Amino acid sequence: MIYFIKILKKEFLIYSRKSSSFISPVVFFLISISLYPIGISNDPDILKNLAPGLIWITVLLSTLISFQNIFSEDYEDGSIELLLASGQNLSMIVLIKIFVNWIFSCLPIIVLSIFSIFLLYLPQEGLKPLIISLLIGTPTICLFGALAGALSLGKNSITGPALMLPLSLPVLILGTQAINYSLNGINFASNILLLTAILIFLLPIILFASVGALKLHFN
Amino acid sequence: MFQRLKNFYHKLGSYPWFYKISGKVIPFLGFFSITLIIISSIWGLFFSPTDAVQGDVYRIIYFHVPAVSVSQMIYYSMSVAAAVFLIWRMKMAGVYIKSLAPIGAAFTFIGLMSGAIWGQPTWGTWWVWDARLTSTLVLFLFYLAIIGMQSTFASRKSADTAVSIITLVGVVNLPIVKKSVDWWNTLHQPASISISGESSISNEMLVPLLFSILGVYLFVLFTGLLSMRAEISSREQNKEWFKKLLSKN
Amino acid sequence: MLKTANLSYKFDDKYIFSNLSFEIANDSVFKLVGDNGSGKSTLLKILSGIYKNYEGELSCLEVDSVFYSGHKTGLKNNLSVRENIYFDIRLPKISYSQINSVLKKLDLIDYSDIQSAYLSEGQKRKINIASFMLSNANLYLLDEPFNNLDSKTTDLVREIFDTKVDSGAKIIFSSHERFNDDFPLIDMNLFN
Repeated sequence: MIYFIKILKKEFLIYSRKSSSFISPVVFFLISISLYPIGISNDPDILKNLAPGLIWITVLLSTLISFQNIFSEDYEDGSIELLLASGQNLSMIVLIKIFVNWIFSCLPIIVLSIFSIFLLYLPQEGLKPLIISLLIGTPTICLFGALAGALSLGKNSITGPALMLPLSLPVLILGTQAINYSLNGINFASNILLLTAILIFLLPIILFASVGALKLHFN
Repeated sequence: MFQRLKNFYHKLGSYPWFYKISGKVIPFLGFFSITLIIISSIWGLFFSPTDAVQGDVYRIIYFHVPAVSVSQMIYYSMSVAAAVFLIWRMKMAGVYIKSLAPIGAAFTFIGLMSGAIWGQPTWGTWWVWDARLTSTLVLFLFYLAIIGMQSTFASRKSADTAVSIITLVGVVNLPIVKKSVDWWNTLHQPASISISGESSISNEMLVPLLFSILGVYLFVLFTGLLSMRAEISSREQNKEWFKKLLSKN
Repeated sequence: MLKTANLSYKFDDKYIFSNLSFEIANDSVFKLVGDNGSGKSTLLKILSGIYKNYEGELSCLEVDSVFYSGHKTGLKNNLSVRENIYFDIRLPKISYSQINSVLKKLDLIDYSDIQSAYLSEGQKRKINIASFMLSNANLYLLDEPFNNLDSKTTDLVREIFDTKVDSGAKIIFSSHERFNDDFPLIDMNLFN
């Protein structure tokens, strides 16, 4: 247990020293959100209908980018080798890495998405379902990102998106629908429950698959 | 009986046996499949009756239905091979997945294109985001991911294992995507477009369709075996049995 | 303590080495030699558990923990020298004073708060040596530990070997260096 706390502290330290780990997702998010009014239309009525989907898509893409390289540095400098040699439980370690990456790349964007009230004219009532759905949906997307990152180690740039995005489609649909339901007065609790169920169900499976994928590179 | 099955299973995993048998079977498969496809195409395009509702446009069914059917079948067979590879480490299964993926991708693409060509004059739109089309597009993406993943790993065994993982992930995810888009769609807009409607198809239209389906399946077998032979050649080129085989010819 | 029987390793249908059998019981330090590409690193990775797809048998008895040091340093670029050692996953919980005393012996004390990205290759190797010194494992698998080390540090490491052996540990290291000692040799060239 102390061992895993040590690894948690280590990962936090590494991420916090690299300012790009939380600046890049934020910058990407802000730039993308700005593209939509410019590229689509700056009419509030149009944007507020699109806002739930646009925010979710941007969060998805941003997570995809930041998870591409989750294991690449550790692979290059030999840390993963040492982890394998240590005989420790890799699932916990991968979980810790996903968690820390989530804190630095997803959490800032979730906070920023609150500003979509102004930027994309999202109605205020949509804020609660937005935050809740993002808080529960993004960890699942991070799981898929970690699997894609473990398979590609940041090298082959097609596998990450091609694998992660189709997997994330159900989460995307449930998330945007939750916000749209709420804006139309329909109860969105079932969506949140489904999202939570998906996360709990997939957590062990995808962790196991990610660890297997990492070990593949050592044959 | 059981012993014969076991023997067959072991033979299936043996490269030399496969090479020998496929060499004999391929010319027949090629001949029959191409003949069937030509016959069914000409029959379907020119000699089957005109549809009462859709006119002559429906004839694309003779390309669209086989292509879509085979694209899904190939993926399911690849997922069986993936499971076999991961559990029993049968190398032939890895060869199977690598060889069939491009064929599956090609037919998925043909299916999507032919569907779009059918959709435009019939229902006024090239594309719609309903469950079936969206999940077919996702299927296409998975095929591409499998093809793209082949070159990422240094060791072939690692590449085969990674590809098997992706295949199995896809086979689980595809029905989920289909269900979730369907659910999302039916709650938002009525499902206006459905591509199946040939349950009440007349026999005169059905027969060339069946020929076409059979022809395409045989064609996939034909190209699949060819592709697997090529893959085995490239993997085993330095092995004794292969060199002996080459020198015999 | 450590025993292999007919150990072979294959990469893509080609054997890197085959039918390697040895036993480590009484002697404590073994030197792994062989030409480039003969499988020294591979063997060490198999023994440390990084590569699991070997053929043959491998058994480890009475091994409580293993310390592996490979070609790659495992150092994190934006952590300081001290932090890299403190958070080294091969080590148990250690205090900063222990780290400081080791760094002093290695002449790295002046660099202890500098991020390891700014260090030379030899200094990075020394950080690995620091971890080696602080470890309390009883089996050490070291892949070319003397690479890039100056002669002073090389002598220091040789002394540390003796200290470790006195406390009951076993060491297998690969090297191209020659020492005056007669370590029992594992020669990979014989098994290619």
